[in-house]
Amino acid sequence: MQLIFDGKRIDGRSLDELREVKMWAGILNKADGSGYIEWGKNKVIAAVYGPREVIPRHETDPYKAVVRARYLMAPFSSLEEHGRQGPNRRSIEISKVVREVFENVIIAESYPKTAIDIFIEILEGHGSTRCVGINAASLALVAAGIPLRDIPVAISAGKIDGVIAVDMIKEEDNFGQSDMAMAVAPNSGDVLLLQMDGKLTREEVARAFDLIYGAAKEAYAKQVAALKALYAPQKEEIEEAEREGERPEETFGRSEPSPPAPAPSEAEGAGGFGYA
Amino acid sequence: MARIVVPGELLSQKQLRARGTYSSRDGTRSAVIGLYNETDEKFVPLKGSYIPMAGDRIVSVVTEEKVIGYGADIFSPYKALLPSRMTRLRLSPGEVIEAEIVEVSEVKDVILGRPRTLKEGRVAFISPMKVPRAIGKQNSMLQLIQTGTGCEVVIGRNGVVWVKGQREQLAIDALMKIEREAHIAGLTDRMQAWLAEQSGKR
Amino acid sequence: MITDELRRDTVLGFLKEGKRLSGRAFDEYRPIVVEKDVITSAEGSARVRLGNTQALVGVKVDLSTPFRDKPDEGTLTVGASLLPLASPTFEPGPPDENAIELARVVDRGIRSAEAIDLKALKIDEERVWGIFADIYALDHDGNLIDASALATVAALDNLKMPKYVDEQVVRETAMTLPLREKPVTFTFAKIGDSILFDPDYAEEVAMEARFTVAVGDEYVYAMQKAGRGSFTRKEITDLIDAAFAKRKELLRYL
Repeated sequence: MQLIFDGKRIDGRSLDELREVKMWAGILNKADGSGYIEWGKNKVIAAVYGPREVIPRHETDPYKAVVRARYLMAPFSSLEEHGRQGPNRRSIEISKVVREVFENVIIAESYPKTAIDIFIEILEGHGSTRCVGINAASLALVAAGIPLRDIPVAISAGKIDGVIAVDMIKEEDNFGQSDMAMAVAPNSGDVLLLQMDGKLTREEVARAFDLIYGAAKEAYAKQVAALKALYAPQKEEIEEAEREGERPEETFGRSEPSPPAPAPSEAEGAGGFGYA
Repeated sequence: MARIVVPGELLSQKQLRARGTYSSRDGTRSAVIGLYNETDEKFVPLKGSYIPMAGDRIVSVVTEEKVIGYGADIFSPYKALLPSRMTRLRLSPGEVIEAEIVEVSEVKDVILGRPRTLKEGRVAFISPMKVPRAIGKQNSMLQLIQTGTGCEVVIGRNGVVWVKGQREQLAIDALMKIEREAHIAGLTDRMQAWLAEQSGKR
Repeated sequence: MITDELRRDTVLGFLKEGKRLSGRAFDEYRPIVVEKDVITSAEGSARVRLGNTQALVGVKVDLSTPFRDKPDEGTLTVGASLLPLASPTFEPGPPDENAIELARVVDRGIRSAEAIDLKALKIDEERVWGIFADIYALDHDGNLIDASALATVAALDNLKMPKYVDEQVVRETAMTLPLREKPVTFTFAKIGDSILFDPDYAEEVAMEARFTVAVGDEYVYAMQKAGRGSFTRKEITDLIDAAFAKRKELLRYL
C-alpha cells in the first residue's frame, strides 16, 4: 500500500507533522486524577487512583509507593474485528514498559506503603496508542497531585515508503517499514521508553529521534495547557485572598519545610535529583 | 504575582525546601501543580492528598478496637492509631472523633492523641486544600457558618468536617458552596448574603 | 532478597573502582557455547550457554492457517517460559510480564529482519506452515534475552521442513529451510553512570535500566528499553554503534 503521495501522507500531513490533538484533565469524578486525549482519531482515557492502600498487602513497599499500570484496548476500539475483553500478551508488555516510564518520574518516597495505580483505556485506537496512553496518564498523575520530577511525553515515528515520518496512524503502523515509540522527560531529554521494530539504518534512527524530540515539545505544551486550564480558577482564588489581605500560604496550606527526606540512594542513579 | 507551575518546572536556583517541590542539580523544581510567587519564592501546592503532619487537628472515624488502642481512618492514604495510653475514652467502631496528630513516623505511621468524641451530628468531606479557606482568617468563615446555621462546626485539617445543630444540611451546603466558589471574588460577603437568604427560606 | 541487596552494594563498590565483580571488561561477553539439534523431536533446536546462563529453544513446524491480513504467508510465533528451575525468583504459572517481554523482544528482532521467508511457507489456499519457537530458560545468571535470541536464531536456521502430501503432514524429509538473515541481539545494563555489556545476574539486580538492540549488517531491527532508569539520547546512539561493532564477534556462533 502506498503511503506517501506527492510528499503528503494519506491523511494529508507532511512528514514532520503531528495529528490534531485535544487534551483535557480532570474529566472523571471518582478518580483522584484523570486525563482524556483525542489524538487524531484516537480516543484515550487515563485515570489515577492513589496514593492508596496497597492491595494485596504483600506488594507493599515500606519505603516507597508501588507504581502499577494497566494498559488495555477496549473490545470496540478497532475499526475491524471485535477484540477480546481483558489483557493479551501485547497489552501486558505495554503495561510493563508504560509502568517503567512512570516509575522513573514519580517521587515514590513521598508516599511509603501506598500504591499509585494508573489505568489507561484505549476507547478508540488509530495508531500509536501506547504513546497517547502515556500522555493521558501523565495528565492524570499531575491532576491527582502525585509528586513527579517531570511530565513524560511520548511520540511515535516510523519509516513509510522509505522515508522517516513522525506520529504514525494505523495504516502507517501496519504497512510501513518500521515503527518506533519513545517517551522522554521533557526537561532532561532522558529516554524513558524506547521500542522499535522494522529496518532502520543508523542515520534513519537519528532522523526519527530528531522528529520525535521536535514533536515532543509541541505535545508537552498541550499537556501543560490542559493542566493549567484545570487550575486557572484556583489562581483567582489566590488573588482574591491576596486582595482580602491574606497571604496565599495562610489560605491554602502550609509552605513549611517538608519532613526530612531519605538520603537519595546512589543506586538510583538519579544523577543528583533528590527528594525535598 | 503568582503563576501556575507544573511538575518539573525550575522555580529557583536556590534550595527552597518547600512542600511540593524537589531538589534538583540546578536548584528547586516543582513536584506538583501549584502556584509559585517568584518575588518571595513561595510555592503553594494546588493539589495533593492529605499528608498527615504532627500538630494537625483532624476529624476521623474509629475503625477497630485493638489491644494497644483504637485504629482510626483519617481519610488519607495512611491509617492512624489512637493508643490506649493517649486517652481515657472508651470508643467503638463508627464513632467520630476530633483528635490531634501527635506523631508521624518516617514510614508514615500516624499516632493520634487528645481526642474528643463528636456525638450525633453529620460528617462531610471537603478538599484538604480548601480547609484554611473554609476556616477563614481568625476563624471568620467558620464563625459565619456557625452563626448562620445554628450549628457547631468542626473542620479537620484532613478535610473531614462534622456539623451538629439546628440546620445541619444548611451547614454542609454552605461548606460545599465554599469549596465550589472559593475562586470567585467576594466570597465572604457572598456567603453572608447566601446564609441570610437561606435562613429566611426555611 | 537480602543477598540481592548485598550483591548490589558489592557490584556498585566494584564499579566505582572501574571493575566488574566477575573481572570482565565493561564490553566483554561471557564465554558462549551454542549447540544445535539437541532435541530430536523438534524440527529445530538449540541450546546456548552464555556464561552460566542457559537457554534452550525448541521449534515445531505445524499446519496452520494464515493471519487474516497476510493470507499468503506462513506464521511465526515465539513463546517463552521462565522455568522455576532456572531461578529462585521464577514462580510457576502462566507467563508473566517478563516472560512475555522476552518472547516479544526476541520475536521482533527475527521478524523485522525477515529472517524467515514467510511466503515460502504457504502450502495452498487455506493452509500454511506455522513455525512455533518456544524459549525455555533453564538457568538464569543474567541476560536471558541475548542467550534466548541467539538460541532462537540458531534453532530456526535450517529447520527440518515437513511436507504436506495427501492431506498428511510428513515429517521425515530431507528439506531444510535456511535463514535469509541472522539478526544478533545485544543487551546492555545501566548501573549508576556505568554501562555494562551482557549483565550477569548480580548486575541485573543492581541495574536501573536495560537496553536491547538487534542488528544486521546495515539495519537496526529491534530496540527495547526497560527498567525504571533512563538513558540519554547519546547513550542510546553509542550503544547502537557498539552493537554494530560487536556483531561479527557473535555471528561466529551462528
